[in-house]
Amino acid sequence: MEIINTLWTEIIIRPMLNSLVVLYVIFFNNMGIAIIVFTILVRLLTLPLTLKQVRQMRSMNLLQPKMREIQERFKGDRARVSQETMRMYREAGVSPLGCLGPLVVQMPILIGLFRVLIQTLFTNPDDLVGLSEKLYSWLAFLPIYEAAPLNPTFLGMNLGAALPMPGSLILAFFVGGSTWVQQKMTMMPTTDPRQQSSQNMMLWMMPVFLGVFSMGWPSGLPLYWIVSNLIGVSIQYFITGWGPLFPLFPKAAPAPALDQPSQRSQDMTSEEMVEDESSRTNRTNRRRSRRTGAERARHRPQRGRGRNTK
Amino acid sequence: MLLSLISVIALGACSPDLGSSIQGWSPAVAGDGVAYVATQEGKLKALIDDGTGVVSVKWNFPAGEEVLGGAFNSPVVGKELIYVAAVDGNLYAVDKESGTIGPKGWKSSLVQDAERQHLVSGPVVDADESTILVGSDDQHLYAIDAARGEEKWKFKAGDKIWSTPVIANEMVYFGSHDRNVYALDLATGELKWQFLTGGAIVARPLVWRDMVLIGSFDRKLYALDAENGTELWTFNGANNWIWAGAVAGDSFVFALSMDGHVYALDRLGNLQWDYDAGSSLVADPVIVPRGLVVASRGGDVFLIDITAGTLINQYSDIKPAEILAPLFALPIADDALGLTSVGGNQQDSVFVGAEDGTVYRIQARSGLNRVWCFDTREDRACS
Repeated sequence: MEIINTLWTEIIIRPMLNSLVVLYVIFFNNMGIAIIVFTILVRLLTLPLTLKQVRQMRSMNLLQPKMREIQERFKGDRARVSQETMRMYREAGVSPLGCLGPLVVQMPILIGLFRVLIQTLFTNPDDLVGLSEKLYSWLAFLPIYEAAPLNPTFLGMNLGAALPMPGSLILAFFVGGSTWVQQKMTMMPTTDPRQQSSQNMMLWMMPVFLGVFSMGWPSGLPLYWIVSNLIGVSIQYFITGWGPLFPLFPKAAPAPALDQPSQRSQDMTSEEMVEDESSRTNRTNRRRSRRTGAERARHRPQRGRGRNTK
Repeated sequence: MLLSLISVIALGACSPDLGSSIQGWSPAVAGDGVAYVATQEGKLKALIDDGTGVVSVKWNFPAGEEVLGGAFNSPVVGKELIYVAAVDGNLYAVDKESGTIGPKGWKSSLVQDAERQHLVSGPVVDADESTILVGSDDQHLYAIDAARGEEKWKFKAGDKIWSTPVIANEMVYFGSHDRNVYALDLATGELKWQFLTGGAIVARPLVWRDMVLIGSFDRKLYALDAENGTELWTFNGANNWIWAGAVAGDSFVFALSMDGHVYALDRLGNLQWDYDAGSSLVADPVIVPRGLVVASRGGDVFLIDITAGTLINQYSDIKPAEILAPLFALPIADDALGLTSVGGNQQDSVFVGAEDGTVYRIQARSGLNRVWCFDTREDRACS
């Protein structure tokens, strides 16, 4: 346990803590800017993993119709279902654990940052004593020792404490709202009522849950979360565009045109299906980018109608 | 996304550090055969110490379920009252005999926002026990009438005051998070001078040979002229913050750094020797007839020869509990304070409060020997 604790401190906590303090010193002793820049740097470092995760999730969603086919075709034969499923994944170049891999790496960063923010922003003597021992002495050419205790104030907020009402409510709104936007953008439309129900539940439950919890957090953490979400939204936009974000609150079930991939999947391999959808999305994005905003509005597909109306 | 969300929320819910309650550091003091400790459970506890190694609880303040919230720096023992600056933001004067506020004691609130502000600084009493001074998280140094608990004057610094003030030559000296060392007139609170250092100051100043010596978070020990605040010299050999207050013998002053080193300096600031204690030094040290006693955060107590800087003895039974609270030793000239020595020469004794709630009386003669240990959480002798 001692070894794990030491590894955790030396590999995760201390580098993150020192990075945050250095950024604080560089950016005019401003903890808010330091957190924002730190979040950007963390997202940049984990960008390859994020991109991989996004692509893996897309691929997994696109393979859902094929998966249902396999389950129906080999109903009752679990071993065969499993075998065919793995073959499908192999052909598509998708790993079922691929979605988890990046998450497993990001989780220590999230947890570590959470604890680092607590350590640097709380200024009772116990926390301050602990802070001094985690600073790297070789960074002493910068005034990192002299910077303590760190000033937790940013835009009128004490980043080391939960905001009083109504500030905490406003912050919670942005936490939940930015989470909702990012989730909505990563959702793949589906005609399966069960999947729709599950998606809708997750779409609303997590932002609400997170928003409520964030009201009790030191406000530096919601700041990090919001910035991280905004970066996530930006990354998602460059990969898939706005995706299913608009309309924000769809009224009806998706158009039959969206079932076409599932009809075509009977004739296509898994790999071909993923590649085809990827290239179709890229062409769509290129067409969209050449249009003005008004043109885009005219050309935006209408839900509930097919593209070929004649 | 879900996994990361759950992990962050679970961590937030389970983390002991999130919004952690401040409990203080178990400082212990003694006088008249009684040891007093401000426990992390939020009590001021009086222990009868007959010097035979057996201690018993005389009283707890406050009684019942009420708590003070603990203390970071040492209470001060007066003639009839004991004064403690508590984490709850109040300064208490407690009757030494009864363990209650009673007709002679009082309670004074010294913060403006009791939810978020505390008293970390320790109190100091002037020679005739008429005035008590203490710094506050609300950026003020308060001078309180010792008899009535009423404010005489207060001085506003630029930031929190965690440094325990020192009185000398009708002046009061202290440091602040705003990086300044302040010197005020004791009677009026008028600012005499201030000196800007490179880092926050939490250390207690030392007045020695007409100098004010104080350490800073810029890793330097400053020697300032006590009269006008002129910088006389600076020692910048430490590699981490200076948190503990310096102490001085006849020839040397001893500065402790959180880099784990004890630095002995002469009156001109020249380094004489340097002792490596192996872990961070936060607790204020004490000088006893045999030498210098320091306690490290790692739980070791060292008795060091003040001339040569060599180790005389080491006491390590307190480990792995941390030692952060100031050490206490009865003043060598105890006759002046009318203190009698009970059950052995208390001048050789050092009182140590550890973070696990235990309090030790250790005798520092040829070695470091435990006289007694008391577990304040269990209210019994240590096992």
